[in-house]
Amino acid sequence: MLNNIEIVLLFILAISISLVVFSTKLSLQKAYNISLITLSASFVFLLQDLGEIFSTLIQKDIFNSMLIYDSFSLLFILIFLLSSAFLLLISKEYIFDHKYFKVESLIFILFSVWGMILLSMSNDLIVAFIALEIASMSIYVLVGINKHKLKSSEAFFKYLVLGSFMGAFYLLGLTLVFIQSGTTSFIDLAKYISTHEIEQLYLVIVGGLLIMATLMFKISAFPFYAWSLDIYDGAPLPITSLMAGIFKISIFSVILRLFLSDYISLKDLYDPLIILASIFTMLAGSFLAISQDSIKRMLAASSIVHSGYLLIALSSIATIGDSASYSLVFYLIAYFLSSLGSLGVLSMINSKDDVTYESLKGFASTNPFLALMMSIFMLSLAGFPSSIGFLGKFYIFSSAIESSLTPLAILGALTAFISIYYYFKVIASMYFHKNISVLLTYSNIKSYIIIFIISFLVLYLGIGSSYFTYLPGTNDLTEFSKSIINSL
Amino acid sequence: MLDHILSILIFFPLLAAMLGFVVNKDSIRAYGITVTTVEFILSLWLWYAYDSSVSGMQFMENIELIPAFGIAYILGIDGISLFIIVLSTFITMIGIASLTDTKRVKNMIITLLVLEMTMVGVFASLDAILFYVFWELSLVPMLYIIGAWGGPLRIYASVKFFLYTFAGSLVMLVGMLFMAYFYYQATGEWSFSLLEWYRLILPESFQYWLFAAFFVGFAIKVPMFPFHTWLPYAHGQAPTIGSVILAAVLLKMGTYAFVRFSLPLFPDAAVFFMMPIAIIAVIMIIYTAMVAYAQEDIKQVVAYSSVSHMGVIILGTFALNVEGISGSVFLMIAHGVVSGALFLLVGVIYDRRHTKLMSEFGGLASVMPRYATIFGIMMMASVGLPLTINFVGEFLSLLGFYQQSHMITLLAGVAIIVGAIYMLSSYKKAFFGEVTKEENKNLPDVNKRELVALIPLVIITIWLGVYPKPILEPINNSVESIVQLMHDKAVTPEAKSAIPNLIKDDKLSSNMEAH
Repeated sequence: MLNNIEIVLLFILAISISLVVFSTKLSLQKAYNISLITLSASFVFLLQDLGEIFSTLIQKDIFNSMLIYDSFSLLFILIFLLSSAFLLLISKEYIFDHKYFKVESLIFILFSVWGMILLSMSNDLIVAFIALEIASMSIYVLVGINKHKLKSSEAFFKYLVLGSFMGAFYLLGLTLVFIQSGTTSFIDLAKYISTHEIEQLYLVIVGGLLIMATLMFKISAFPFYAWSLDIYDGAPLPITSLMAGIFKISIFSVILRLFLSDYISLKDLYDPLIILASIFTMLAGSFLAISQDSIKRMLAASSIVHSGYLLIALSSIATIGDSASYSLVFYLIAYFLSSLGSLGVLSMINSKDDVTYESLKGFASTNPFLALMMSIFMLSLAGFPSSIGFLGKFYIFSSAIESSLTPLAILGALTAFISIYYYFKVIASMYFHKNISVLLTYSNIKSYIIIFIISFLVLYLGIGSSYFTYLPGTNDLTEFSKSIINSL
Repeated sequence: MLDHILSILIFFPLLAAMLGFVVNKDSIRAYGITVTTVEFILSLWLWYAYDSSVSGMQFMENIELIPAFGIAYILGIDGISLFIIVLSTFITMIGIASLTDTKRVKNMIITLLVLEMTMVGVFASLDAILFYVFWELSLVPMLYIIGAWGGPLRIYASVKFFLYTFAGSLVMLVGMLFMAYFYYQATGEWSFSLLEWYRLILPESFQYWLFAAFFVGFAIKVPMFPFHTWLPYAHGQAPTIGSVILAAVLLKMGTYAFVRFSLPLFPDAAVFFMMPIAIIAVIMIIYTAMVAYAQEDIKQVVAYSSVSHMGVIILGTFALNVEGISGSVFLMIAHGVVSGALFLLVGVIYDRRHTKLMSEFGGLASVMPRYATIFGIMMMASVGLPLTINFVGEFLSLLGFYQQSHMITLLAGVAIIVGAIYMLSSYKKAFFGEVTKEENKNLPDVNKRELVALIPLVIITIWLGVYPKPILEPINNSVESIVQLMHDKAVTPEAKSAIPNLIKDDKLSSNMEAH
């Protein structure tokens, strides 16, 4: 008997492959509908697994313990499915309006989501690598689908070359870990690390460092962040959201699993590195974000800053362990909602050129609804109270304080302050300038509804109500984030 | 209904603001006036129902928001917050009633209603996070008011206002997280409830750091020297209504927070930092008075004089005794009424001449006699003339600080007298002498709408100046319990001696028990 996740995995795979087979016969509209239905049906189907904390190995006879399906991965899988379905809905007109979106593009989106699902379930270094590459490969192609635009092709090549290069580091690290420990499974590795002295672990440590470098690259953390600005900028907007919003979260899922299950006993060694990385990621991202003119580039740069916040949470996990990890999970949820929303609003603007602060001037008078939504997402990204972004930052800073990493918390507050500058410039441009904006927007009612739903979630989960007892609120989300950590 | 009156007071304006979107543009002003009047009457009802013999918190509401982290929706008022809430609803009502014809009047009224919600929320919340949420939310409507209706430099002014205050409050947020963490370490439970924090006695060294963190947030809001530079820009660019609310209510958030957070939470640190802060306050009083004297723009004069008076409030607060703190709380109310009125008056003349430069006026007393009279009364009140509202507050504040340091009080007292010079001289420039400018000869006097707004302010100014007891007594009761709490909590002997012990009669100690 197959369990739910296996059905979903096979279902998405089957749909993707059949789309590949019939790609020449299908219209874009049909392929779009099929992908959307696939994603949302899988989401709804998996909702029934919510509830009890569980942890099962997938097809133990075939895969041994390579794939694990637990509450932790379920949360991430749900996020991937939901946000990619939202993404398709929001950017519907964008996809149909830009001729370079073909049936194949949608197949690649499906494949990348499939890879991310696998990534969040992987319980083995090799499977994690394969899943990572499935997701990355699809995204490499998606970045370059606009082959007539120079910037897009440049982004594609940069990402492909750098990504493959960093992938090699992962393989090298994996080899080193395997040479010493004789295993690639997370479970066995954890046993090996905890039963051996540091002197016997040199290769495992170095290997872990190399793997960490690859993962840091994927989340665009210092010192591997330089690529992200050009690539996020060169990619079409829906793909940027896919990379910045969804893919990044999947990387964090594997980082958390690897870190909490294996390398937690070596935390003293890695902690200084993570702290340094988080400090410089926040600073570098802030400096990049301040100096941008284009909103898209600003959001790309600010996503680096958000990686920095997440690294604060990671370093607190290193110090006080599980009790801080829910702050990371919560922040991931907060971040995915706000970044999906803000990039979604951008992708609803029909403009040949980049949307800049200049061209947004007076946007509020021509399109009050989208301006309001954009403001909400900006407030949330900046961590303004009564939005989910505030609670996310709040949890991260308090776990930093709890693990006596106060300077990090203060620096985090400082970068949050800097971020006010570039996020509020957007609001100021939209509201305080008289120039009538010439920006046109797509008028797809579905996109508007989805944007509204996301902004509602941002506010509702930010206010943190347990007043409506029959509706899940922030507290339930917090408790849920706490409980899924236990399923690891 | 009385059980939830605070929630109603907070969310009624918000609800009204939401409904405001569907109200017709022509009737929005009437709608705004109605809503704020209802809100004001509700706050008066709150005052009526308030039991002024009890010093602790009343009308408490407690709903858990995020139990896992000890964040709750806790509301409650005592004598200190009661009158500031009444002041906020009153000033908003007056402000909307006197609102001149502006563009996008609908947006303006909706924004003001949202602002009213955040103001009442700040003064009613007894949970640090809830307080912080309202505190920050109040920035957004103000940012919008300055940014969308302001003068030519409005974007610079609004961004400066926002960045300054937000920077301060982020530091404050870190302080709050620390405080909650210490509470967690001491009790094993997370809590952001202020009343529970009150019970926590912290070691001195922690107090110093936390006091400093909170201080940055509050001092920028007040604004204390040298963080005051955002205020003249904000006032200079803001429309009249923005200045009125900013000066009358928003600045009080900072001084109120000192009384609510800094003093009872960190009594030793408050004693330790008393002298430095008093010196800053005196510098504030003298320096801004001198700057005000040099201004040519009448609105800037009022703006700087308002900073100057905030200095007296700070001085009174850090007297750390009942007279000083009661005086400073009273002065908050007084300053709200007087500076609100002064900004309204400046708005009146600005509407007629579209300039605020004093050199453009002169001899207005003969052209606009009623206007000159009201302006004169308010200016006297601002100077602190006896039998006006400001006098009571200033006198008590200085009396309170006199017990801590004669020298500083003397300096501050002299500075206040010197401060009268700039007010009188600007009054002279604008109102006396010959009517020099042709345009000024036919200026209409204050109209009915303006009178409706100004007359109540004049009445309050004189009434509370002559007979301050109805307000002073409840304030005094609540302040006594705070001072007693500080005395009991203080760790160091210096702090014990600096903060008076009030337990002499049984009534008070039984109040403490109930608290």
